[in-house]
Amino acid sequence: MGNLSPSQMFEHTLVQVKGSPRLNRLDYAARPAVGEEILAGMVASLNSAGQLIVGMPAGVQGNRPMPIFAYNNYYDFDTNSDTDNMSGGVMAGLVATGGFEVESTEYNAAKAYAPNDMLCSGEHVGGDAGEIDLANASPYGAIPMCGVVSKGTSTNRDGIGILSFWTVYFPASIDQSSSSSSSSSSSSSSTP
Amino acid sequence: MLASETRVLNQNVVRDLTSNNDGIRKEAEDKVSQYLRLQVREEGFARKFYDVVEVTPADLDKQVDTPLPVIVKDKEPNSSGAYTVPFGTAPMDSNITAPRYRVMFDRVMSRRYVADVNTLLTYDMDIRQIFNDFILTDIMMEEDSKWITLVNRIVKRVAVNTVQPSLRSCQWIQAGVMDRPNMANAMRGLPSTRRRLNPAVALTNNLTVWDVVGFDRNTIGGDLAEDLFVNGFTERNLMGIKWILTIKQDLVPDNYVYYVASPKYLGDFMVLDNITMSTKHEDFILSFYAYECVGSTIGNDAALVLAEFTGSAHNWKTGALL
Repeated sequence: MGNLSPSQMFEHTLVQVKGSPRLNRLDYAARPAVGEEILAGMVASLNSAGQLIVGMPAGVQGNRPMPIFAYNNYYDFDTNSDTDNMSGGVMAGLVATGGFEVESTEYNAAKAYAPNDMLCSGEHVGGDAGEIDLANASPYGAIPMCGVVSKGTSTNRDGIGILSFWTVYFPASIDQSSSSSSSSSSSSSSTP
Repeated sequence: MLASETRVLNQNVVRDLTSNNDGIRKEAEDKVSQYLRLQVREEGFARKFYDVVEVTPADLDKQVDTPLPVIVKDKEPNSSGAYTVPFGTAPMDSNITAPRYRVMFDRVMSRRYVADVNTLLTYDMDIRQIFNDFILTDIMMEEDSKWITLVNRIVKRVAVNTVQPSLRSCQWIQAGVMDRPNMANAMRGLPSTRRRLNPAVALTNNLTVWDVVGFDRNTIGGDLAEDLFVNGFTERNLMGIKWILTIKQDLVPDNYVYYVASPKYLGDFMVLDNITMSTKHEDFILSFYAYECVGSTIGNDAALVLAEFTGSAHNWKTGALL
């Protein structure tokens, strides 16, 4: 009797429910930084080299990473192909200020989400980097925020839990550079 | 063609691309796409190393974990070898296994250019050339850049003048100044690997090739020396292989010559979506961009080597100075 479950294409997803049509939406493609295991639906951001990293560090005064919601997985063939293939090398996501309502599979399912709850990347509240989590704080404080809950949690047609929210961006206004909980390489070398 | 004739041609192209008749607009798009496809074969260098194959959706292989297009291919298996035995000896068994690899595709696209249609009517140059300059050059640059990155990842797996263990020879050497003996030594690169392939094509930039033009009659014989002196270097055969030149010196640096085996030993270049021009017309605004979907592999890592014509010449087998 078989007991293996091969991975499926719908395990990690970001679905744009509302917002600009696909050919005109505000997306962004960049090379993922080495070793960054970004999954579709995660919050990502650019490091100082312009490469995508997991999560969104708070940054420093004058330089605050913009949240980008990945819609590729780091292991997708068009992002990272087999050795000796020429394809791949970049992945893409929706920029948080693009005005979207999205459904993401990458959120902290241990929390309860109500409409209008502010969201952030998990590393700022003790969760996993890149996983969408409850901010439980006010905007423009110590925690950068990337979304506001719309519908909340539900289960999609593939049986995967999803969180529906509007993408926004409230950068942190308090310099966390000395206590950043980012799991990724430094996002900025700028000074105020 | 006179400027006035070109303008009439341009007006016709723009008129058709902005037509409210879907049939006329589609026909105009197809004409521009055909023009771009013709140019692509002439301008990019990556495709020149392959027998480019156009594939259809029916050629694609399904994968469980992704809907992305993939084609699975078999590699030529290694045999276990024959041996001599005394009479009455039973054969040794060997399992039949053969490696496979996947050809993966991605999309390359140009930027989307937007113009007021009336600003396109005043050019004296063929507007299709403008499409070419804006769109095709960038797509070819991206294609070539991705391909040469892959090539460098293979040939530079170990340091220069260092034996690559799996090939049992160097794949990247300093080859000395470009003269006849060093060029002949560079030709030994591919046959020195354990797969012993012969080079079929060389790739260098249009600056390095002038070292060849500098050869005198004592080096390459009177007729060729005279021809190169009078006519310069055009793509031709030298030492039995075809030399491809590129102006993309940022991709192929000075003094680099890549030697590549014939297409059947190299890998694949597959085109799922050939370059296609997409246009959109709303009122007086015309927007256009082009895209393609291609996949390319270097299935055989012993099918290419790099000779860097600097320093002193080295031995491909050992990496030692000659």
